[in-house]
Amino acid sequence: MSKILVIDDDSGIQDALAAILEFDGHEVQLEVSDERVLTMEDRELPDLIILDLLLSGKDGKTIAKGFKNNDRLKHIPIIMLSAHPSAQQSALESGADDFLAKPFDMDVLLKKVRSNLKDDR
Amino acid sequence: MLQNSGLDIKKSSRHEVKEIEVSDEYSNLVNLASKKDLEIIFSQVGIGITVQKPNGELMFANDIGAKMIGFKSPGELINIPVKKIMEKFEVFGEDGGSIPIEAFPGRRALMGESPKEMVLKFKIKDSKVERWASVKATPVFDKDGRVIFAINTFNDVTEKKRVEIELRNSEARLKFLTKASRVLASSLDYKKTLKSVARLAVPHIADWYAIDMLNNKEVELLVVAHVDPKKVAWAKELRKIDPVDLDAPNGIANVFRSGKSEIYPLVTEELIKASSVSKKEIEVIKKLGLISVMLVPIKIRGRVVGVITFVSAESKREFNKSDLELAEQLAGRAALAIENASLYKKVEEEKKRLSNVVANVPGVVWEAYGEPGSQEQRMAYVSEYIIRLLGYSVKDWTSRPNFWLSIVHPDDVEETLKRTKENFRRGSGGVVQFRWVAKDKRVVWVEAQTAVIKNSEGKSVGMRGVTVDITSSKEAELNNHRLAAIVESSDDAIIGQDLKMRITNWNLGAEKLYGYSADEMAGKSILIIVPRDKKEEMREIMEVIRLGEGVDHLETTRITKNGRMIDVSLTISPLKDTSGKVIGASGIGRDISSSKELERRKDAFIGMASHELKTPITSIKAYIQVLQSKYRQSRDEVALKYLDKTNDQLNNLTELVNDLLDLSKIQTGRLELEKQQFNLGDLVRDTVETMQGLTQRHKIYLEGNENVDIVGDKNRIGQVLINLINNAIKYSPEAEKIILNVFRKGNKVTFTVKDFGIGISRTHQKRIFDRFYRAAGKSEKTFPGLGIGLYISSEIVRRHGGNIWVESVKRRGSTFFVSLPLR
Repeated sequence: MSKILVIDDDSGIQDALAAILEFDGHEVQLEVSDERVLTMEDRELPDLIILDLLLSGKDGKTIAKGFKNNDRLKHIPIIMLSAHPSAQQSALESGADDFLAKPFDMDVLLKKVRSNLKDDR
Repeated sequence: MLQNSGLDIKKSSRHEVKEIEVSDEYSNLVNLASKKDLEIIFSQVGIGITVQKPNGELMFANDIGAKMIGFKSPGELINIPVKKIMEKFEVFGEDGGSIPIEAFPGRRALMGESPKEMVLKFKIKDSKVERWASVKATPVFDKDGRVIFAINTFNDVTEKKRVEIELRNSEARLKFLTKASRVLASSLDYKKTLKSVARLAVPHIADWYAIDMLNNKEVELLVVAHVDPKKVAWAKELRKIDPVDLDAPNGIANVFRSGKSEIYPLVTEELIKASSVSKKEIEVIKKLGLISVMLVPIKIRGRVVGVITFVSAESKREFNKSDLELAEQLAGRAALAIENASLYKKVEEEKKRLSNVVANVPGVVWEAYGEPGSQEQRMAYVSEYIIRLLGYSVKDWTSRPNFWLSIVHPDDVEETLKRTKENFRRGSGGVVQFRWVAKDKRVVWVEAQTAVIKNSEGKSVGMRGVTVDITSSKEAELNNHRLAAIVESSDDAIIGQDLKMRITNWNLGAEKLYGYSADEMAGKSILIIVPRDKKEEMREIMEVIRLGEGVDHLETTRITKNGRMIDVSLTISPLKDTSGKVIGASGIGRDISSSKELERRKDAFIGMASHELKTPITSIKAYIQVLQSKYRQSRDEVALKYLDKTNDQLNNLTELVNDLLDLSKIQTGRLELEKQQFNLGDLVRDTVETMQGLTQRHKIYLEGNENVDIVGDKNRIGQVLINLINNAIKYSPEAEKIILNVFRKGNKVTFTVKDFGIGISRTHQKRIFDRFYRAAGKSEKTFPGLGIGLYISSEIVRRHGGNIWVESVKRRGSTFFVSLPLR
């Protein structure tokens, strides 16, 4: 039973992701920014982060970079989410482990989630 | 005198016999006066008295009586035989005819008659003496009624008669002159009229009348007249044989030379002998029976042009001073008639010449008197050109005042009249332009060049001028004005330049757009407003212009006066002269900065909007798919079916949104390609597999494949493949297969997608790669889609340095080709 953190400022996306992930049996935490993560206790840390490239106020890539430079968080796999498929390259360069274009197929999402979780373990 | 004498002589009729009563007084008288005394008395009496015996011999005559009939004294007369008396004289009547003895009053009285008083002319033979007397004769009867003697009285009326004759002659002369003048003035054909005058002159003034005219140093007989036509013929013949010799010393030749009249009142033998005429001439004179001659010259301004000859022959008339005066007067009138005729001829010739010149003037030549616009205005002359120009007759123009004004175009009347009046009053000519309305309602533009006619006091009395048809040039002028106004008022920048790119025209729109005034830009190079990176483009455009071609709606940039860069759309055309040679260029430019700006915003908006659209789509898709999984688990077939359909539609929606996003990126130049090396063959296989999953009806065959590596954006190339296969499926709803092929040739690799659908017509084939172009025909149903798929594909292929094209036959199918470079 893994814990997945979704950082997306759109409630629609948040709920949709939650629906899929919970259906697949994961625990989902929804955030709009990286604030909470940075102040989380170790035991609260998620097993996977799904991060939107475009957040109001902050750039997803910067956040990803931040996470990877953080000793406590760098081990967590990040799947970057974006409306632009062409953003894949730069997303991966900023530290994301995987990339998913919106709108995505449920199967594709779940496959990526499973594979990234497995790698982590 | 004899009233109180004893002798009573009573007038009696023929049949009354008178008693002579010798009264006492007579006896007394007889006793008193002696014969001598009686003679003295009778000789003092102012009238001629003769007393005739019944045998005609005179028994008494007084001095006057004797002289009357040609005797010096009464003594010579008395008792000589009648015959002897009659030899002395001739008696003529008032009509000029001779009077026979029987008709003499004396004779008739001797017969017992009481004849009427007669006026007789006594011509004394052997002398020139002629006397006129009023003769009365009275018979004296004895008691038996027998005539014992006749008493003749002669009252000398010679003077009276002369005066009478003179008066008659004067009247005749005057009448002749008057008639002759009238005849000469009646026609300009002086030859004819001078001949007509002959009829008046002959025989009233003279027996012969002839006119000789000088024609180039030759004397020509114009007319010769006489009552006898035979004599006229003879005279003509004579002249032919013997023409006038101008060198002859006298006669007509002399008159021609001297210019002075000659009169020979009486031509006598002595005169002939004394003159130097030739024998032939003497003969002629004799044959003519020439008595009196007058020769008068016809002089025009001192030059003798002819000679009139008057000859008296049969009438025995002797020309006198008054006759000569008459002849000279006639000659004067003849001269006038000839001069008039020649002047008239000259005038007519001049008029004709002038008329010819005027007729060839391409304008109306006119002359008018009176103030323009007033009731006194009248057109004195207008050339016939007016008929050609306006269709009105010359009569129309001269018939009433200001006709010219009445056919001026109503809009021009006021101004035209004002200007014309001004010119007239000022006394100086001018140029006025206005329109006339022709008889057939045509409007004719004219230009009147006028001059003012002034009288000797310098006052304006009329105007004259030439009015020329300027319709064609005026229309051209007006057209030019109109065009210039259109150009000027246009909001677009309209610029004219020569082949050296120097500015020749710069309208208000150009001033507004670029900030430079027309004065600033005149003659300067157009490159002033061309940014550095567009100068080459400008030069290329000029090359195209030189070839007689132009550019249409070229979007480019220009710099304004204050350095601002603006987007413009230019249409530049070659300017040609009348022979077709290119002499410059004219360009219309429109500021599209705002529309460009708008387009940018729109494209940006599309991008943003489509980006935004993805969010709710993502949500919806997620839920649909969760539901699909749930219902798969619960095996709810119906729910699954509907959810599948919903998912399909969502995929369509996603595709549309993606296309919009791509379009916006292309337009705003933000389509980024992530180029990497990848295997084309793999991509093709994977794509075919995926696409096959989307269609049940069609079978996708991969007939050829190449396992080549190419460098490019794998996703985007994949997108192109998907677009082509999608189209193949969409546009062949009745077919069942789609064939793909990949082959390498040289340094290119090409893949083809072939369908067996509706095909694309020739005209559409050119346009299918255009933005927003969708295949649709009247009979065909429209196919779903935005029409930008192929546009995006062609952009992607182009960005890869490749080519995309189609081969198609309507109703058979289409084959799309994409070729990409290797390396």
